[in-house]
Amino acid sequence: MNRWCGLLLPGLFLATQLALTGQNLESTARDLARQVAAAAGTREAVLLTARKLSVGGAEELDGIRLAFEAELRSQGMRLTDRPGAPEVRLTLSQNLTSYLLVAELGRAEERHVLMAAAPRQLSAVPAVPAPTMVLEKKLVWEQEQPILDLTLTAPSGAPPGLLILDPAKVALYAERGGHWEEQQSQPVVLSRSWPRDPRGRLLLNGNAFQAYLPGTLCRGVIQPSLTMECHESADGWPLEAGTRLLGLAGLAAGANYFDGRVVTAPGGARHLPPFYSGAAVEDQGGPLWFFAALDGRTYLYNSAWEPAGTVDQWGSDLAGLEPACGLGGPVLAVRPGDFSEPDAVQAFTLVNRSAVPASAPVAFPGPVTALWPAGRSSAIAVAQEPDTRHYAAFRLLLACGS
Amino acid sequence: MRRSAFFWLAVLSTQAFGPYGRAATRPHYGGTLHIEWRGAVSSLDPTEPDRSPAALRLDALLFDHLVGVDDSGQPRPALAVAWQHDPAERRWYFRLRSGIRFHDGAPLSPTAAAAAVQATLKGAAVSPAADGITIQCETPCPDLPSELARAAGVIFARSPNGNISGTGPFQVARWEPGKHAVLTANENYWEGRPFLDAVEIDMGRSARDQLIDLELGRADVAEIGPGDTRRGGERGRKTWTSAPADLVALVFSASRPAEDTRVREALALSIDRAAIYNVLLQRQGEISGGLLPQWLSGYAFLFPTTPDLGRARRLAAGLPPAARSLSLSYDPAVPAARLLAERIAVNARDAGITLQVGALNPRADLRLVQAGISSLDPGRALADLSARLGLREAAEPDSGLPAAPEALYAAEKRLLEGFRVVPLFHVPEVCALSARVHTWLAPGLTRLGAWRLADVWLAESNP
Repeated sequence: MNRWCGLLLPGLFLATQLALTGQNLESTARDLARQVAAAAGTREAVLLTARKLSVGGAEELDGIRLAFEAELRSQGMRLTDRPGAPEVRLTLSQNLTSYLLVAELGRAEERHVLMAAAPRQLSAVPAVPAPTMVLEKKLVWEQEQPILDLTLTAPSGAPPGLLILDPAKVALYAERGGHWEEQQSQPVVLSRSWPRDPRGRLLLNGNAFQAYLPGTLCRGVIQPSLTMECHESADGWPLEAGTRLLGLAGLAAGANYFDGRVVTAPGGARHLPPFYSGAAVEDQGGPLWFFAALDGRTYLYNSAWEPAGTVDQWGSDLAGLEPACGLGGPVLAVRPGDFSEPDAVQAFTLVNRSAVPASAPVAFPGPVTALWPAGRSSAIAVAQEPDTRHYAAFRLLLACGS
Repeated sequence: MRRSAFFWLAVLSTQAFGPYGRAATRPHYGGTLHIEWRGAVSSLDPTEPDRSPAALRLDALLFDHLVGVDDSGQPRPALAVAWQHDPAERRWYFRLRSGIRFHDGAPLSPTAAAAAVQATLKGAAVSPAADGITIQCETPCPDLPSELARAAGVIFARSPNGNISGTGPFQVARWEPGKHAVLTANENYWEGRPFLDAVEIDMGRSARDQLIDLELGRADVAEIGPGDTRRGGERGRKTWTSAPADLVALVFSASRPAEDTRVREALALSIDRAAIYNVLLQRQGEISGGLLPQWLSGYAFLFPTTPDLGRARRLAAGLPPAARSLSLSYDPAVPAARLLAERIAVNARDAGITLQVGALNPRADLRLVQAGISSLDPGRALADLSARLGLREAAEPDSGLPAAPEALYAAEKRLLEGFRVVPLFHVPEVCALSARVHTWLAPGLTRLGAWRLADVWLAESNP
């Protein structure tokens, strides 16, 4: 089995849920039709009209109407297009938690109202075409708590697993029967309270892992069982290009940004303006650094740490990957903007020491809250779903071609 | 190097992401948010009965609840991290979050939590337990977590000198009752320190003054009434908008004339909601014939909203002249209330009913009211609303309204049958913002209009 097969499962689950929504509504429509037939108590032909007051596609209403109509007929009711015939008015409405199918029989004072509810489900996310390189987005995991970071585990001889870091715990999941099941977890204990906008980084090396958290470093292993110990720490967080560790950066105490201390090996320590995220890509035999600063600009430094320009059009999360497709090292960057707007991640590559968009932006319905490198040509992006407020982690895979 | 930087800018501005403004996605720490309110809050005591909307806003900044609610109204852990109950759902145990301190530094102990809950929860005995509190209800109380997410669950401590302390994201640094408040960030807030350093609130400011101060950069957040929407939102100004959760309705006095159902129905049928909505409300919110808004109930569309002037005239014509003359009171603190009342009087005159419009008339036959929805649970919201509008006996809230939409619709229909209350609109709360105001992962207003300032950050603040 391909080690990534498990990653596709949540995506399939999402698609299945969407299909189930339609099935639930049609089933609810049939239930309501049986109630209507019982309440109508007439053999007179009725005029059926249908309308929609909820969000969603017109095809949804068509399916519901067809199911409703078929069930009315199977209950012995006759339908007609004749104006003036007794009317059955079907409305697809919704409230916070449910779709509501409402049937109105008769008019005004004589009106009889019947209702049936079906739980609301997820909405679909439109795909975005990619013109040059392809940045693919695959859903890996979704949960109510913020996902700080996530990594796949594949110790030799063991089935693939999923290690998830959230503010409460590190949890290990295993694939069982087509979906991930939590196997073990260890609580995260911070030496002080979490800052708002919590951040965390998870690094797995064989059987051992490190969880970088604000003011705290946790170390653990995933086999033979998940164990972890956390202690207060001012250690720097890793700055990487794909799988290559290029430096360390210190997170500011009680805040959501790095304080500007950067340590590289070799090269020693640097003091830069504070930044939200840093990335480095290989360029002409040395690293080219990108730091998304607090003023909304991304600042560039060459391998000698000389300023090499600024970028105004990126947001505050970056991830550096390793060179691919014969092009300079790609950087993934989120779009600037408020949380209330749909977000996007786009790949940029180096051409003659300048960055040009390498892929179409990959859209997210809500804000991207974490973006970390997760392999030579891939990254993990976590986005908040605006309707449910749940957090979804996606694997972003940069591939050659268009 | 300079050439390289220039090239970056040129390429990126034309091909990357499109025309987005320059703003980082992640929030900044620091800065003081300046807010102006119409309402004047005279007390910081969250247990004070009939807290005004402005006072409830302030409470949300200073205090936490034992139980929170998520965006769909379901209970979620807050100061209580878990709870359980006995099979009869009469005895409940709530385990407290550890390490919480009040703003005055005192720890949130089971004893302190029990005292706070006991002060606000009726019909139950509250006692401290090992690491939480136990609540014994007189009768089964399956909705206790939801109840504790509302006023009954507010956690506070009262010091011997009478000062009240909360555990919320902000704490009081300066307090001038009814005029001015300065709140500072709770550095140890359990959900994370707010991004803002401080919030300054000026109370009792008229809508006009708020907008002027916003224009002049003296305020960051200003309330916008329905009539100010265009002005407040001009030049692409950002706004916070709640769901249309405030009911605007006519409520007939139970103790005054107008006891004849016909005059109430005639008045209800005379009102041209669509014209008022388009002109006076500038299409903010939704036209409504129900007590609950459509987005909450899903069935509000079943209640009629179109005028029927012919029937209204026939009903009014059958009444003696004295019964066709009524007084209508409005609250000038409610945005656009006078304009709405006067427009309703014009509609009523067309049906042959005379309305004498006046402000704050305690002897009026009917009042124009604006009442907020208190809960995202439709049954609870309807029970609360009917109680506040004087329809309590009809809704029987103490027995618990049924949650099924069909039964809820039947209950609401019964409440409206006598036309004692005539729903007109549901309107949102809208705030205009200065350009530097941003929020992180959650809007500045909840669906029901509560302020969520812990997630607000200011663009030019220094970290």
